Amino acid sequence: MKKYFSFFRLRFLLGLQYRVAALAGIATQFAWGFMEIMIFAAFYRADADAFPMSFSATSSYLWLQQAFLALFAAWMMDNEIFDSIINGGIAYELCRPVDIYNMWFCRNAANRLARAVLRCLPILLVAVFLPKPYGLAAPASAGHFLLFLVTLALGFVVTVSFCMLIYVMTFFTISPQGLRILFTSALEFLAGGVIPLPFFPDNVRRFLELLPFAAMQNVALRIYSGSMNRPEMLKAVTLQLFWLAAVTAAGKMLCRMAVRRVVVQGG
Amino acid sequence: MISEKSTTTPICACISSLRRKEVIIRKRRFSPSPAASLPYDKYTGRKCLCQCARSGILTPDSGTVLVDGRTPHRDRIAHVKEIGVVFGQRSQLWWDVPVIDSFELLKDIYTIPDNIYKKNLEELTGLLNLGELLRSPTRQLSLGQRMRCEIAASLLHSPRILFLDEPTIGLDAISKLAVRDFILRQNQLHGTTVILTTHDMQDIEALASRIILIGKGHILMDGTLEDIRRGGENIDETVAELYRSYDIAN
Repeated sequence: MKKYFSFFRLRFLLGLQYRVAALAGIATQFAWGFMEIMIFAAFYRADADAFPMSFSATSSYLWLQQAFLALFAAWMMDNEIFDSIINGGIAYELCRPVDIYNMWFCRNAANRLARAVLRCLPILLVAVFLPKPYGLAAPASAGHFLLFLVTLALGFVVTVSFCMLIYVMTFFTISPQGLRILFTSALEFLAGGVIPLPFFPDNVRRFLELLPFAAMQNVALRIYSGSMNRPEMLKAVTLQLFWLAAVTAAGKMLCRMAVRRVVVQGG
Repeated sequence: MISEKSTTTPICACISSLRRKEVIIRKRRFSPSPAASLPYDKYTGRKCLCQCARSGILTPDSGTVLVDGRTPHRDRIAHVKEIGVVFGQRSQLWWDVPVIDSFELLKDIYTIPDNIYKKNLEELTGLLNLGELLRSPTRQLSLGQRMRCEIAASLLHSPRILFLDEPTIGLDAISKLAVRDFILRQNQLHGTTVILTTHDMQDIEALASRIILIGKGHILMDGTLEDIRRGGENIDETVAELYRSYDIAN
């Protein structure tokens, strides 16, 4: 266990080094956040009753999404992992007494967490002080906040697990390009990264909520502002746990298969 | 620890291949020897031999690979604990962090006890003259400096067998000599078996006490430097001649 923690620590500390990148990221996320809020403000002005969430809840959703972008954004993947598969650096990692899947999982989680830690505070701080309903409102209750933290963590590991599938599949396709384009665009849309899932037509939403993508950012961001009732929350957390187990198991199995038939590229 | 005297733990492994996906393995016994060397030949599966033997990266299509009594690809994690690996054309050090941080990570990966880690680190730092290099990020090191660090990294856990894959490729004269000198000393001091793959004939002259030439699924030659020298003074030409005579020059 200690070796995986060491991986996590080294990657985390390494991630904290890129502070200028984080500043640029923060600026982007502010621009993006304000733009989305303005678009939604225009929609709400047309007919506020036509929306399943209050405008304030939507604003909170968007700001939390921007603050924790690094935890959930599918396109933020660890390029070093892809490189090691493409150019054969993986040979070194296979020469270590470690489980490849667990090691990459730790690296990926650490990478995302380091980015999120650097970026989230300024965004949250500014969003809290923005005038209502444009800013980040207080959580619905202390209980909701607690559950928000739990589901945030769960959603984060489901996301990492899912990204692991993409890394492992690169073993078979060699180039990650196609996989990345396909999965990142599908994932962003289906996880509620473009518009929150409640905004989808009811039939579509009911189906989407069963998919693993809904077990990522969707749950935590909606629980925060209290836009899920008790049975909905229970179902959402159960689905998160289910998908975490299922996606991780699939990833591990695929990884074992991939490692067994590794072909070394280059001389 | 394998030394010249203890012949109880033989290292057996011999693999050759026609194409990368067709690995054919013939079981063969290597008695422990201080340093064996495999001349480079891209088409004969030297790479496959090493990938199979050193870490179980590749799974053979048929036959068995035995290294120190273990089957690498079936027993990967137990096997890799006992071996050290240096790929001349890849890096195991983290690019953006000081070298010592990569070393600390290896300490945890191999669960090296504190006292052994300290002892090995001190010894390697002294022998390879790493001193101030350890504090610099890998990206700032020259190739020669990096290769010294890579070799140190592969020996921190006191492996019984060290696989060196073209360790002197692209190195300047001073680093080349330093690396050779160190490999020899490691072999004499700790009895580490060194399997060296190289296309630098000077490496072979300086280091190898046993040379195995592989081509198209066969062992073409298994002998010493003297056996090659019989064909003339120039080793490169003799090796090329051998390959030509087996019709595998290309």
